[in-house]
Amino acid sequence: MYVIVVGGGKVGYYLAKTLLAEGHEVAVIEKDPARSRKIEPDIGDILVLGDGSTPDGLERAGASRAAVVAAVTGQDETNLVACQVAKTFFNVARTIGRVNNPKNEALFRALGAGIAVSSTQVITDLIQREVDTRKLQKLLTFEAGEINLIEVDLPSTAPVAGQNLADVRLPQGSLLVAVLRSGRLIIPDGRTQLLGGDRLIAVSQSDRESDLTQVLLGEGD
Amino acid sequence: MFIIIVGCGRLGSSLARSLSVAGHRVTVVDWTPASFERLEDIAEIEKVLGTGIDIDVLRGAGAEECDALAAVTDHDNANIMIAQTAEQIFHIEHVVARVNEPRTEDLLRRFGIASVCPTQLAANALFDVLNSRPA
Repeated sequence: MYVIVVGGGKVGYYLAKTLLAEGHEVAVIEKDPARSRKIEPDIGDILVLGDGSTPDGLERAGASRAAVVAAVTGQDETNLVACQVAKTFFNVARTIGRVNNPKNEALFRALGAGIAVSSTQVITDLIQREVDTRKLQKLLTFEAGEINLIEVDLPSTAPVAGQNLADVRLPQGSLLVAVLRSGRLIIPDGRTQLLGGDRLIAVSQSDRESDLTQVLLGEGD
Repeated sequence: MFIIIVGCGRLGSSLARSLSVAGHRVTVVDWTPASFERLEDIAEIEKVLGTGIDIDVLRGAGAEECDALAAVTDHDNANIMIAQTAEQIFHIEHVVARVNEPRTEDLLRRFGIASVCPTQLAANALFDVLNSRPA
């Protein structure tokens, strides 16, 4: 897969190295000649000196054949424009932008710039998860966090422990897809009885997660 | 008209001053407090401290009520982002962005954003001065 990384700062540099190690074809576009010289000895053969937020810069990196453009400069506005130019001028299917301000995640989506990743938000989520007593973990997210695959460890004190799944009123937009019990996988149906100690895997819309927690664990958010 | 001007440098402050004198209600947004010194003498101009690429800063400046917004910081990409936010999120009727790089004007046309390029305007004016001299 051909990936263009816009921005050769620390994030861009390590992203490029990681992608290369995974076997992908990579180009890095860096605007600043001084920064370019610094990373040139290492990744000089994939380095493009130019402005990755302009049609000209992306053109020189061969954006029309890129599967992904990842804009990871330190400026949210530059990353936004780079993603938009990649989509508008070169029909790049997947664009990912790094944002510093978590509020810009939603704005990216609203302005059609693709997916935004906020390291601030990622770290906040991790801290939140650590302090969370609910034992609800996100395993995987889809559609930029709109839909999540969730893992819940069911304590024996949970309101649904001992109930058959048919009697558990899961919120609309969520589904229990697997029960892990003593290392064995159970694909649940209505007759499956939930037990304390079960690890439940559910898929849920993000706006239904607090309802789901309420139903399974009986605690508020 | 109620006009928001994002960027209170030499260009933004001068624009704010003219519009205020012309009788418009003007709010300027800039993230460096010192920039407001340029407009110290005009109390009617509201000064909002913050970055224009933050949706809440724009909202706080009155983006939901204003009639027009000009994005005139010295960063082209910031102006593009602010102008798009103004049009697509706040549905502001008149939006214009300053671009410094003449080639960026094509990009803005493609994105459907009205723009003014001071670099090109100055180059044109200088050309006229020099070109009108007899050889």
